[in-house]
Amino acid sequence: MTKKLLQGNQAIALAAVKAGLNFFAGYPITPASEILHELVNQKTVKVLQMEDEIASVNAIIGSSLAGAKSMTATSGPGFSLMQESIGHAHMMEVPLVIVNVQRVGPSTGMPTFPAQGDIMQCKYGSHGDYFPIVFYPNSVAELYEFTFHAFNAAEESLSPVILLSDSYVSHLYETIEEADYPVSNRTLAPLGTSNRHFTGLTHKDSRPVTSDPGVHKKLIKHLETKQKKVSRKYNNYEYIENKYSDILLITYGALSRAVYDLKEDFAIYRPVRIFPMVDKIKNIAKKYKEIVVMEMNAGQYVNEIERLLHREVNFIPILGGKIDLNEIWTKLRRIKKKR
Amino acid sequence: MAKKKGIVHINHKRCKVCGICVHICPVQNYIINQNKLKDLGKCIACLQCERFCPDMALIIDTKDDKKTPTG
Amino acid sequence: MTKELTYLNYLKQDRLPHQWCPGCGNGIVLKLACQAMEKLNFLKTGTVMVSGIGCSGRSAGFFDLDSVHTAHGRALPVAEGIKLANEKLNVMVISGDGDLFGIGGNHLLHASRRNTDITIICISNAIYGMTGGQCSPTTELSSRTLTTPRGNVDTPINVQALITAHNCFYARSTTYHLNHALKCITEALQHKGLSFVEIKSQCITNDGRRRGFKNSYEMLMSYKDTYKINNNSSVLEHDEIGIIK
Repeated sequence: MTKKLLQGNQAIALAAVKAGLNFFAGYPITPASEILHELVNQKTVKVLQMEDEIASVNAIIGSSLAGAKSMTATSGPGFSLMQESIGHAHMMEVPLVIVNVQRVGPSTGMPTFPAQGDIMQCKYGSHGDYFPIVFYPNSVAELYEFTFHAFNAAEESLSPVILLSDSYVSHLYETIEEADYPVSNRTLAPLGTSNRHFTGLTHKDSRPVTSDPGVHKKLIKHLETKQKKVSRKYNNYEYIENKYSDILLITYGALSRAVYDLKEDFAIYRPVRIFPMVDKIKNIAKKYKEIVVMEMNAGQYVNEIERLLHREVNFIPILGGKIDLNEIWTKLRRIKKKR
Repeated sequence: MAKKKGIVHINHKRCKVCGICVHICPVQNYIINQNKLKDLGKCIACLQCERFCPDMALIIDTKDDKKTPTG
Repeated sequence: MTKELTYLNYLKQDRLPHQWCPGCGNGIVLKLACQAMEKLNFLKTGTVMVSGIGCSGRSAGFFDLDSVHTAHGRALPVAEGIKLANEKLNVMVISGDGDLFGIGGNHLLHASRRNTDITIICISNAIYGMTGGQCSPTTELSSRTLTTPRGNVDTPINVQALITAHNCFYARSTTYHLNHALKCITEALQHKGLSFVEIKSQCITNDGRRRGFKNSYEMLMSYKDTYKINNNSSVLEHDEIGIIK
C-alpha cells in the first residue's frame, strides 16, 4: 500500500477512478473544481464540461443509463440547480454519485468558506418523496474511502447517492494510504439492449400510470424499502465515549475535526452516513442527560435528531464559516450552568 | 389501366374520429355516423388516409380489379 | 389477408391508442420516425429514444426500444450523455418546441456547439398544448393564445439561425408534407453530427380552435398553402421548408 499526500478533492477523484468511474460531467464551481481538474487527466474517464449544473446531472443520468458509472461534483448553488433531476433520477432508479462540496450560503454567500447548509437540501431538496443515501466524511482518508462506498451504494440501490464534503475538508491536504476497497458491479442492463421505458412519471413495469394511487403508493414504498435495505450495509458513525461526562456532543464534517479537542470533557458522536440516520444514536443518547448538536448552519440536522430521539436537544450554530473553539466553549459552559 | 380498389380496415379501438380521413379522401369514402367512422366501399387505394391517420387506425389493402374474381 | 404496416413494429402496439387528442400531429410524426427507421434498417437494439416533457414528450414511451422520458427541457443533455457513454448507439430525441427552445434553449445552444452525433426531431406546434394552450417560443407574431389574448407581441425564435450558426444539419418540414418530412428525418438520421428536424405540427384542441380552425384537416391544409418546398437555397424563409446541411 502506498502512502500519498492528497487534497480532499483529489482523493475523491482518485478513489472514483478506482471505484470504476467511466463518465464525469461537471461545471466549474468553487470549491469543487479540483475534482474536475483531477479527472480530465485520467485516461479511463470521459469528462464533459457542460454549460451548467442542470446539464451536468442530466448528462450523467444519460451516461449512467447507457452503462457507464457516472459522477458529478458541485457546490451549494449548483446542487440547488440539480434538485429537480435528482428527484427524477430517484424515480427512474438511476445509479449516480453526486459530490457536494458545501460553501457558505444562501445564494452566492462566501464561496471560499466552509459551511454545512445543504443537509436538508440533500433530503428534501426535490419535490415529492424520495429516500437518498447521504455520506459526510470528515477527513481526506474518509473521503477516499466513502467515495468507494458511495459508488457501491449507488449501484446496489439504483439511486443517486450524495457524498457531502465542505470546502474545509475538501481543501485539506493529508497523507492517506491508497487502499483498495471492494467495488460493486453494474446490475442495471445498459440502454440499447431491451425495450424498457425510463420515465419520471409514476410507472409500473416501464409503463406510465398517472391516475392510480395504488401504483404510486407501491412505487414510493419500493423506493423506501430499497434505501433501508442498502443503507444497512453502511452503518458508519464514530462514537467517542466519555464515562466522566453526561453531555453528548453531536457533530459531523469539518466541525467535528475541531470538536475532537473537547473529547476530554464531553462524549462525541459523529454520524458519517447522515441519511438515513444511523439508529445507533438512540441507544447512545440514552446514556447522556444533555445532548448538544453543533453544526455550521442555523439548525438543520438538530431537528432530525430531535425527531428521532423524541427529546429536547441543545443546539450551537456555527455561522460564517469560521470555527472558533472559544466561542463553542462559552456556549457549552452556559449549557452546563443551566443544569 | 386497371382500376385500383382498396379494402378498408378500420381499427375502431384506435380511431378517435378526428375526421382527417373524411376530408382528405378524394372520393369521399368515409362518413362519420353516430361518432363512429364508416367507410362506404368506394376506396380507390390512394393510401392518403392511411398515411395521414395520426392514430394508426387505418390499413388499406390494395386489390387490382383484374385480379379480383367476379361472380 | 390484411396487409401489415411493418414500420409499426417499432412501436409498442399494445400501448395504442395513444393518449393524444383526436387530430393531433404527434401521431403522424411518430409514424414518420418509424418509417425512417425502417427505411434505414435500424435495429431495435442499439437505438435509444429520448424525449422531454409535454404532449410530444410522451412519444418515447410508445417506441419498442429502450427509451428515456427526461425532466422538462433536459432531453438533450441526457441524449448527449447516452451517446458519449456508448458511441455505438443511435440516439434520437423527439420533443416539442417549448421543451427544446423554451426551458431547454440553453442546452440546444450548447448541444449544437458540441455537435454530438444525435438526431433531434422537434414537433413544433407553436403552443404549450399539455398545459392548456399558452404562448410558446415558436408562436407566430400576433397569434392568439391563452396567455396572449390580444395577440403575441414577441418574435418567434429563429431556430434555423441558431442551429446553422454551428454548421449543424437543419431541416424544416410539416405534417402535411409527409414525403418531404420522411426525407428530412431519413437524411437527419444518416447525418454524422447533430441533426435537427423541425416538423411543424397541428394542435387543434388548444391552438387551432382559438385561431378559428374548425378541425385539424383545415390546419393541415393551411400548411399546404403556407409552406413551399425550397431545395436550393442555403437559408429558408419563414414560409419555406427544406434541408440545410
